[in-house]
Amino acid sequence: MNFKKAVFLVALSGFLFTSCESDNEPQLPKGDYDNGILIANEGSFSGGTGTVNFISDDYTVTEEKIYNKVNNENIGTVLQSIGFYNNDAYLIANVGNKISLADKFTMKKITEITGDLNNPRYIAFANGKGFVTNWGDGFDTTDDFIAVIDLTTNTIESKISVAEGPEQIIANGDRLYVSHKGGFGSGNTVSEINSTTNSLVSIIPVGSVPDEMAIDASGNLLISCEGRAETSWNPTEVLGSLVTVNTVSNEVISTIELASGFHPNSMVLNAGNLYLSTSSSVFKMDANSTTIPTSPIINTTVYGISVNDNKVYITDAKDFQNNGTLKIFDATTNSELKEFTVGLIPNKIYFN
Amino acid sequence: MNVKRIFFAVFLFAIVGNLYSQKDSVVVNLNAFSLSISKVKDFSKGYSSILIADSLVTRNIRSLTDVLKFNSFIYFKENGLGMVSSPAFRGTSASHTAVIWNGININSQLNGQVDFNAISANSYDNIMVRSGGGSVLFGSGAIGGTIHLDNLIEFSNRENHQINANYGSFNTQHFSYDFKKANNKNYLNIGLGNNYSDNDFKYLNTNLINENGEFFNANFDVNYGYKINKKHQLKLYSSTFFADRNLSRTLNAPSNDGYKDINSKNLLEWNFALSTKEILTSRVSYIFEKFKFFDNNKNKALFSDGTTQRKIGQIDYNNSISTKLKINGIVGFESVTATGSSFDSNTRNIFSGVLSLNHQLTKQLSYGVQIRQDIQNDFESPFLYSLGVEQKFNRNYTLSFNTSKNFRIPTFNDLYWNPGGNINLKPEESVQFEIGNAINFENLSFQLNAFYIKSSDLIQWIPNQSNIWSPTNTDETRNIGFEFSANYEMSIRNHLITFNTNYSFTDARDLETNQQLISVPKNSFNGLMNYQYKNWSAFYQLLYNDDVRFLVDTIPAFQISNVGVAYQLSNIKNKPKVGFIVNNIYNSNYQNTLNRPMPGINFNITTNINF
Repeated sequence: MNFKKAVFLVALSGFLFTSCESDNEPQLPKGDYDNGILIANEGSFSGGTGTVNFISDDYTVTEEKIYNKVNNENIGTVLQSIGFYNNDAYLIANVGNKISLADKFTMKKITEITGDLNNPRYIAFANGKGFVTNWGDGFDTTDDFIAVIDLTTNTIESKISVAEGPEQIIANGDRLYVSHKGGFGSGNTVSEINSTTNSLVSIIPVGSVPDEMAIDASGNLLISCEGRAETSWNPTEVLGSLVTVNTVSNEVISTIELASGFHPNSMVLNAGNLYLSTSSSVFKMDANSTTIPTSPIINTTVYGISVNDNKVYITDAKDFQNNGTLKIFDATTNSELKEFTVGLIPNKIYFN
Repeated sequence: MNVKRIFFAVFLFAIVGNLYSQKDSVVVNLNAFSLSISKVKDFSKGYSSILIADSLVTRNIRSLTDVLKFNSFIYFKENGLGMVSSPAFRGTSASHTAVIWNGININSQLNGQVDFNAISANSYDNIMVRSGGGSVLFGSGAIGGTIHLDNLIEFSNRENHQINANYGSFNTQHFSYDFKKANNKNYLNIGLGNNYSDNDFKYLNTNLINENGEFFNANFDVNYGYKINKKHQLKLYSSTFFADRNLSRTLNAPSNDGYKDINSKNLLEWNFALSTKEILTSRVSYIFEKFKFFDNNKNKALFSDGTTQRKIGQIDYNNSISTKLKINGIVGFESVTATGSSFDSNTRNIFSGVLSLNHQLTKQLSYGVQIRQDIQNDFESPFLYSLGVEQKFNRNYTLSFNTSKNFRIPTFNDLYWNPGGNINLKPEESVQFEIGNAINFENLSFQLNAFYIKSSDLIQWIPNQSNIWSPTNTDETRNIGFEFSANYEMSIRNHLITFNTNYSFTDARDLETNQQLISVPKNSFNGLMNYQYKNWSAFYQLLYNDDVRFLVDTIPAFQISNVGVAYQLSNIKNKPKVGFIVNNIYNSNYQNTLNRPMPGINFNITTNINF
């Protein structure tokens, strides 16, 4: 189970929006896939390929496998996430050990990055470089790393060794934060990386199984920690938590423990609201609130979630053997607006 | 309740036995008695089976997958050449295909399947493929059909040696040696074999090659029989197989995975002729399996592993009351222990009772009835039955019918996998019907079987509430279809020509979605033509598989053909036979499993000596 998008991350990192807001004239579409939603489908783990669906903002145009069609080649096995830098989309194939670089509006392939990746997960950008989290080999707890990509040559210039299971990565100025969800184990730290020196600066102990991160309005780092549900293999529940870290001192300012049984898979920060989701519900709270809501705003199967322009976008992977769907909800009324069939195991949702 | 049913059945059998026991007498030939083969031959009324000829095995000795996919109704899902290869029958899955080694079900206790590239191809004297359910006789997973791998221990004078040495494309090597020596008191068979391949073939129409596909395997077999006296004989069967494979890449992802496995199957059997009609066979068996999976085969220090140990004890009572009536009762006990890095150590104990009856009612009409009840600690096992009827209308035509209830018990992975295992699973259940028509002439035979299989409580792994993949008894499927085979043999002077063809149509649906099941071809066909003239022999074989659905994709239909020629050097001592085979002669680009291409045209040189 892997998670969640990083739209807020892109927005806050600043790169993307500077390029889009450069003029006020009516804009022509920059490609077939401008002004719409991109859905990243993981695809089959066994020999399959990830795919991308496009749905136009007015819902009139829908198209599947856009990258595969435009380039007549596959993204690779398990499309874990897509990172955006200027107009470039970095499509990360986790099992495929490959990053395909394409124009985000036309999906035309620019190049690909293969060597020195091992179980790549997510990418963030800082200082003209891309930083990709890698789990390394499955049974090796000490080979996890951040691959540093030189964005001018799109080659991997160095690797930064980190603790096991680096998952999400987020940029804050020239610093990067990496949540150690744990990969094949379970982690409880966040690493801070200096993007200038490509080095690990500090390790911040947080809650159990930290996953999603966001930078809030005060510049603090929010981290949602899943905890560990009580199951027959894990008889003692570890509570989930919401952890806030001061990004100047790198100290934990607050930890809000979640109720028993509440283990968030996703967290989205959008327009001052914090959305937390489990596999069957979405909860919404004011980002400044210290009280976790007890009743959900939406009850539906959630695999991936994103929020944009007052709409909540939720993917449902169904039975993981047939195509899943994307459901769009009004973020004010919480009512369902539309449902689209998308690809196999749809996960992340991005906005062009 | 279950015990009651067994008692009732015993009672019933006793009556039937008494009714017919006064019929003419029969003498069982203990010298050539094979308990496991008698199960397929004598106690499978109404079921059809295909005997795989030795020559076919010798020709394709590298892999049983290659032998069976061209000569039976089995569809193989191969993860590339030499990689995991799982058989399926009649639209069911690999865990619904039971593999029976000398009468013992050897499907993995961990995943319920047999990987046909993880068992030896050159260790058996008799290979039979039996279509249809057989859980009563063969246990868990015998739903679509069963594959029988048997060694024959016979007390008659002989001594022979067989050596096979093959070499082919991609540095593919096979060597095997088989030694047999027997007299009226002792029988000894020793077999050795090994296979190696670089397996680095090119993926057609791409720039990729089959990286990380190397494989090596070796087998060591001993079969020993000792006839104590007229009434008692002991038989020991032992087969050990070791494989070290890398797991090859796919079209969409590279791989550096590795996999090692070792399995050792051992069976000690004591045949005791209680009378001229009755044989009491006691069997003890020990089966050991261990695998190691390497996520990075350059770093062998890190791996996940699993080990299973099975101890089986069986007492089998066979009574050929008359030429017309045979009965068989089996009580068995099995204890399985599994340990591994992904689950805690667990033990499962199973008691089973089987009763079988085979009765020739009239000259034309015969039937067989079998019932089975297992009792085990994890869950309640269903009561299983099988009924088969055969009506011989004339010399040329036989009509048969069978119905059976079969099951598959959850595997150790299903129950105990950490995380996700579900200890509340029930066994999968399956009910089936089949009608068979056999038409036989002197040189020509046809078999047409139509089947219906309905399976429920099928175990499926899907993410649960906590987003952990976990199995549940959800699926319900219905498979209907038919199998048609035709065999023709013709000899004119020194020319011998044989044709064998198998065609199957399968409509297998998930009853909830009404979709054709994944990895099930609707139409599948294979054909073989053999030609022999004096020292020369040649063959042409072809295989067609329809397109199959795999999740949201389709694996395209394909057709492949192999052709080969062999010559026996009769002037040379021991008359060695040399052959040359061209596989995939039309260089067709095909896959059995999505995005795992199979090799294009490739070559193989075979040599065979018997002395």
